[in-house]
Amino acid sequence: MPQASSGIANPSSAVVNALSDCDSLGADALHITPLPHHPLTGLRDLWAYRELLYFLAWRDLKVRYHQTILGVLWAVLKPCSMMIVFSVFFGWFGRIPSDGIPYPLFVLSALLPWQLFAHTFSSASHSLVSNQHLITKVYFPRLIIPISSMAIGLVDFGIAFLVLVALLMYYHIPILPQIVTMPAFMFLSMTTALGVGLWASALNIRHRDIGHAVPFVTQLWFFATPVAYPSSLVPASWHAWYGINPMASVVEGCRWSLFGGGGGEGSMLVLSLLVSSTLFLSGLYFFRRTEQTFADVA
Amino acid sequence: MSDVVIRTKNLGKQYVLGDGGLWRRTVHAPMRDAWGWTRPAGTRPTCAAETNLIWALKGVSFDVRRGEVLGVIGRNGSGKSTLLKILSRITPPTTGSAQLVGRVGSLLEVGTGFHPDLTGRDNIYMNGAVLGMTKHEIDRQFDAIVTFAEIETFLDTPVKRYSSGMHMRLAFSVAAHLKADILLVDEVLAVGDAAFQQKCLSKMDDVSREGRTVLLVSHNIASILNLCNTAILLDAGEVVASGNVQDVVDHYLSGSIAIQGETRIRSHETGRAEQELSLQAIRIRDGQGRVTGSIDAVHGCTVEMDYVVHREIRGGQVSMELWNGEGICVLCTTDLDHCPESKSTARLPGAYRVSCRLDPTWFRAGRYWISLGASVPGLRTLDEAPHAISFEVVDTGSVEHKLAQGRRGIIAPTIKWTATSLSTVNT
Repeated sequence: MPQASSGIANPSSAVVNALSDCDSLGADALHITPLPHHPLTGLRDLWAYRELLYFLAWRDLKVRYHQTILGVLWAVLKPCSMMIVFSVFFGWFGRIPSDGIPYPLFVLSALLPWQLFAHTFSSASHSLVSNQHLITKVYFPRLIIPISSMAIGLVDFGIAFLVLVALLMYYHIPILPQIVTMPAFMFLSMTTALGVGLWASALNIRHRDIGHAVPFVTQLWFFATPVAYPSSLVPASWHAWYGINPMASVVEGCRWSLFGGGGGEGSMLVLSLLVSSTLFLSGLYFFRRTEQTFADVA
Repeated sequence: MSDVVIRTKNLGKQYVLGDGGLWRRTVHAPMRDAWGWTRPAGTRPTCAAETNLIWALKGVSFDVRRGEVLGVIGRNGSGKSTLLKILSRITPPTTGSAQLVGRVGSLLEVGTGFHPDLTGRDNIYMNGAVLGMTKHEIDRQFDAIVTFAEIETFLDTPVKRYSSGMHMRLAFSVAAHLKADILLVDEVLAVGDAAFQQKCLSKMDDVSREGRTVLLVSHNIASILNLCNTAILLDAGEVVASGNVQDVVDHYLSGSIAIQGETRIRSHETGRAEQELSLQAIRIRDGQGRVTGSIDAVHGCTVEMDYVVHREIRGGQVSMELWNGEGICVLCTTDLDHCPESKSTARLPGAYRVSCRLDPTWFRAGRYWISLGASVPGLRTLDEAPHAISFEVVDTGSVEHKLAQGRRGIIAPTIKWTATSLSTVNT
């Protein structure tokens, strides 16, 4: 019996069916059965297909700014123009307090993690539908698709971060030691986005209603997150519950890591972590449970 | 230990027609998929709402040994593609199980994952990765792929600027270099120009000689006969014959399964209150006069059409177009062709049957369609039935079959050549 050679189609997720036990072709045979994958087995399949993950992300990046004049400058322009609009309307006309931080910096420091979240959420939820030609023609762990769709958001974030650094220098804001915690907040932002993204993508392939709902939900979510306003505007009695929105903790955490200050309350962060991991794990579970039927319902 | 590398047992796939009620569609189905996993699909209690179920595949069991090239034949909708999709793990079976030993490569389509904005070079990597090749493997075979596809000079041009032929060659080339112990191939050879097709066929032949196992689904009986040593025949989702390829093909052609050689044309809404003429039926008869859906290229066939004239028409004609599987119109003929002078003769109300004989030697093997039409040329359409019937021409003994060399051309007439000796060399 030959060992399955490198890479693809390693025997995995082998839920050995009782029916076939009697005349099994050996332990290294690939078993195909009607049972859905168990959500946790077969995750190593993801590792076997890591190169496809890389190629899909690479394709998205390569095609992203193809045939544009400004190219990668768009990654800078979008958050910057948002920052200018918010600074003019909310900071200057609206006189919204910004906890002593220059308002443009106050907004940009929140816009970056927010856009990372919003982009990841929206591209993950559309990812299965826009790649359905792959889903109906080849096998690979379907999780690769929403995961690879995160690449663009990350790269855009990295580029826009340079603008933030430039702005920090312009306003002579000293770099604080707690800046090292920033990646953790980014991670929280992406876990949340992928959690809801997994739910949305798995539902979207069946009901395209989800695709229509995502932009609208994102917009509502934006206003529930203290991007353009400080969370000190929210009544104090609500603060503990504010953590239900993990993005509130992300934004507060980012600001704290850059500018110090009181930051959010510990209970808020704990609640956010709970909500975020629940979203992520349940999304992962739902996605894994339904992924076998994607090709049938696409 | 046995040498079996593919074993399926009682494989079945059920599809729901329509999409059920709102509740079932939006809430029940996804939740059942997600949490109903403790019960195997086959044992789920069915309720009244699930009556419109069809089995696309039912109780399919077979073994394939290492190095075997198994052809899967059957007419449209017989479950061939569903079988391939299950074995490629694109869709799960509803019942039964399958086991595959070794690395599986599936080619359900050529060029999967091609992106029009990426260059040829990038698309080779993209397509290769989608088919399951590692970057290292693609690197190693890169030059061979490019040479095989004959696109060296366009390597850094976006694929959207390629001609369709180049696009196809590149896609084929990547697929042909896929290294796998088991190859699952679906009709991919049905496209591309003849010369390139032949190149792919010989490449596939190499594949099986290297001891790889191939499962080939095809409509093209000639290529099944050429490439496979065993075959299974599917009809309505069930295996009705299996074994030696020649026996299975004979079984397929003998008409022991329902062959559709007749179409009843439903009356078309032509938009006018009263129709003057309506096409009723079309059927294909083989050399012996039997109604059949597949004819051989030796005996040819007769096409028979029924129509009803409701009111007297002057200047009308009934016409027929023959289309081949590549979407090319092979010929067009009308019932006035042999007597053009009678074109203004009145057609009186009544039912009529016309027939015409198609010369067998014209046909190449493959699938053909016939579109029917009736009109008063230049004035109005009386009735039409596009793609009214399809039939298959099976190459059992034509010249091309005897002298397989991948000829070009839409038709394959046997043309008489004459040879005259001009001089002899005296030795």
